[in-house]
Amino acid sequence: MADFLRLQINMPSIKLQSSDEEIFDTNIEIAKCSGTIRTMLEDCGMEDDENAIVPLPNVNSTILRKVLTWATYHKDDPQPTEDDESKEKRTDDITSWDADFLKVDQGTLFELILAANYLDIKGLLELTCKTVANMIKGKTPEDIRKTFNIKKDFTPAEEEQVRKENEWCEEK
Amino acid sequence: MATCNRNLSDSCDNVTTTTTTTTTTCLTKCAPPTVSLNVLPDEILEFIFTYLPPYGDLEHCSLVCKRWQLIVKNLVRRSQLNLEKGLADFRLRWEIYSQQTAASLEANSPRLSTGAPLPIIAGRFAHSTVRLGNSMYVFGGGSSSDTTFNDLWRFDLTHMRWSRPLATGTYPSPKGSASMVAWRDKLVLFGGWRYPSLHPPYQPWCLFDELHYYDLVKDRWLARNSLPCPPPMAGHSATVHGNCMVVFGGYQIKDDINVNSNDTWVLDLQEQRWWQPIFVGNTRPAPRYGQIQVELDKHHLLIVGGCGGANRVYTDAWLLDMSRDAWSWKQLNVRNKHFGAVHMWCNPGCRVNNFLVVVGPSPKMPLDFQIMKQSRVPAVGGSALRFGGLGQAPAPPPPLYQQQHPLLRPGQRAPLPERRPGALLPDQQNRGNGRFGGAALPPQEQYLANRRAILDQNMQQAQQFMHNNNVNNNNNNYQPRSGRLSDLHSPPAALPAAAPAAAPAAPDGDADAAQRLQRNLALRCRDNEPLLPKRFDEHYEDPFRMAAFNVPGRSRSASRDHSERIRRMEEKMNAIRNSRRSAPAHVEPQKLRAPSPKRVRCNVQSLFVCDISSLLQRDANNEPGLDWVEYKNFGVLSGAPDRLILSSLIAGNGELILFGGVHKETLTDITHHVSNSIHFLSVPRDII
Repeated sequence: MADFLRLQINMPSIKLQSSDEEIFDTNIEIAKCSGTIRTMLEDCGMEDDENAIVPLPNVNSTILRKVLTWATYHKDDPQPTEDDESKEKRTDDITSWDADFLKVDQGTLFELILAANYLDIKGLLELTCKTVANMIKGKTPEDIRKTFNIKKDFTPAEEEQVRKENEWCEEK
Repeated sequence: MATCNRNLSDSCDNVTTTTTTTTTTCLTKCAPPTVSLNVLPDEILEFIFTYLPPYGDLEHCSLVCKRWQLIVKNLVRRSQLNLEKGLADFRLRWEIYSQQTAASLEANSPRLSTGAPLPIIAGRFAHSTVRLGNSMYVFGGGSSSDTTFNDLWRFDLTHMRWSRPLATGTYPSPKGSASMVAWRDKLVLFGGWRYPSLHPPYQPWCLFDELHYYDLVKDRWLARNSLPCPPPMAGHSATVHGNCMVVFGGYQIKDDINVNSNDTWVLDLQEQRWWQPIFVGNTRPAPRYGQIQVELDKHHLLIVGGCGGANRVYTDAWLLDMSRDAWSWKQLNVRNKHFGAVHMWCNPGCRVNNFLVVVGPSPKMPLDFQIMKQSRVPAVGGSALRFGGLGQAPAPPPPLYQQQHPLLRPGQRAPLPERRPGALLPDQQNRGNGRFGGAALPPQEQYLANRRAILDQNMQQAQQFMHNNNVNNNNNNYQPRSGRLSDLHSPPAALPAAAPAAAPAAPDGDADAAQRLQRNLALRCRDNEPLLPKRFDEHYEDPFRMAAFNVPGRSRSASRDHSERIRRMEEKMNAIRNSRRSAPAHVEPQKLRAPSPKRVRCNVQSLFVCDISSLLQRDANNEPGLDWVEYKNFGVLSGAPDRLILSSLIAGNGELILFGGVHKETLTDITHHVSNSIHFLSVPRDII
């Protein structure tokens, strides 16, 4: 088990079980960044039970480890606040730690997205989706298909039709 | 989102068990190296697309495959609905794209930087703006230093960057408040003003009747001046209906006389020929300029607001019916005026489907210039020549300036009731005189007293300036506008000599103090007069007239001061941002989610929304009219931009785009604070 988890040994912890049945002993506060786990704990009254095991059948151990690494790093992040400060219009505001964290193959990235969605971790979902959006930005449709291994299922006529619709949108 | 999670578990099963089943939405993951983005469910793909600028990139996505096309279609529709819903509920937020944003974006993406820094448009106001496809085009406008531009800029909404096309052909004159519309792949530019030359002084503003086409394919300006053509004009409004550009109103020169107009002109865009329609009846809007004109459909347009000269700011609305041979005007009911925008002549508006959106000063604020405005007519700052020339009687001195006096604490503010603009009649102004400081001079004498005080003060200021200049060239103390941006709307700290003198002002009964206060007010009047932007129908006042000494040093360091302030502001913002990141413990424990009215910043732009759906439906049972939507929090939204006037507002995809503008208080200064920031108004992101 990773060291970062051991450091939390004195904190109340819970056990998370991945789909391949690996058990992760996790600080309860970190686990609670996941809305899904939070709800489970509250609904099932498992909070005080040291030995309770939370099964996460949709997340395998590799991905769960990644998710917990991210959650540990970001555990002290402040809640986003609404204020009067002008926010800059940009979507590339990814911190360098996060950028390094997401230097993974596409398969892992997509699984992280799915896991973040399943576990209901807003910050991670935003981060991963933003990363994918940045991969799409500035690419031609053909480039996008190549990058993400998507099959083109338009006939030339259909493609022309979509182009026209886009132009119509432009004029409107 | 429940549906989403359900879908997700489907897709997760697919991923983890690598089954061979293929659902309609979730493609199965095959061997690891050939993983496809299409393993993600629709909801997540749509969420990813929300991080793309809703322009070129989204179009590219719709061309990737059928599934993506459907998702993009849904997203576009939903974001448009969301924007309308957000407008109805005032649940929107502002985001800024400034020079700093551009610079940091560039620094962060090495593939963008080509060595030379990307060009950035200069700040401006009263420019002409139009959106065509994925670009926002900006032409001309007033600069920070009493000049006008004739440059054309393109803001690429997809890549979020400015560029200036290399144009050939016959350029238009430098000018502001021209109308610019997009027609096919051309921009059509008409009219506009520029500052009069300074010698001889007191000339009227220069107006233009130039008509230019800009060919976006060839990047070429084409001058098209043919007879008959409308008189020179500025501040008119124009919309495109089919192959016609309909131009209404404006400040014009007709038979060598400057007048406000309520004429309608039509340009056949194809044949480049002007004509004037015939109208049924005599009903038509009062002459005006600066009004908001929006296209409703091919045969209808809407006119809202405008200015008919001093003390004639309109909030009415008119429908122009062009469906028959003879056109007709119809005045529309304006309901809920209480929640309506004011000053719809220097504040921009645009249409978003069922809504008319106007950005302007926050309503009901005692220090707002809509109250100040009434009293300023030609008051101080003008010359005898000006009064004579205009044939106007000198107006009574401006009693209401008292409201803005820096030394008056709230409790001491003149107990004038709040007024809507246009509500203040001349006799009310006179009644207000009695409360003026304590001086009981008749208007004429008081005016002269003010003038004397001003002259004294200018002498003092000039001396002070020279003194400071000798002491330290970089000393900002003599700067009329040193301080933070937030101070802009409080009276300028321009009076180094007067400030100490007036500091102990205690205007309760103390005659001396009252006199000082009086003097101070007069100084302030001069320094800040007019509190409104110069209007076309005012004679131009040479800003150098009283300030012969301080021009060179002042203007130079003023701009330095300005950039210094921007830098400080940015530092502050960064510091705040960093402190949030690194020291969350210091973040205020609980921020109020909805600020109470007390916390409303009064120096920012407010949003005003008007429901115009009854005009679009044209239901015989319903009396068509405008319904202003009840605003929340005075229309002040999160991240609201500083209050500027004469900026431009256009509708983007699922967002509104505000650009440029000028701080109205600085219009009389040597250097105006003009903005080159873009502010995007959009719906806060929903997390799935």
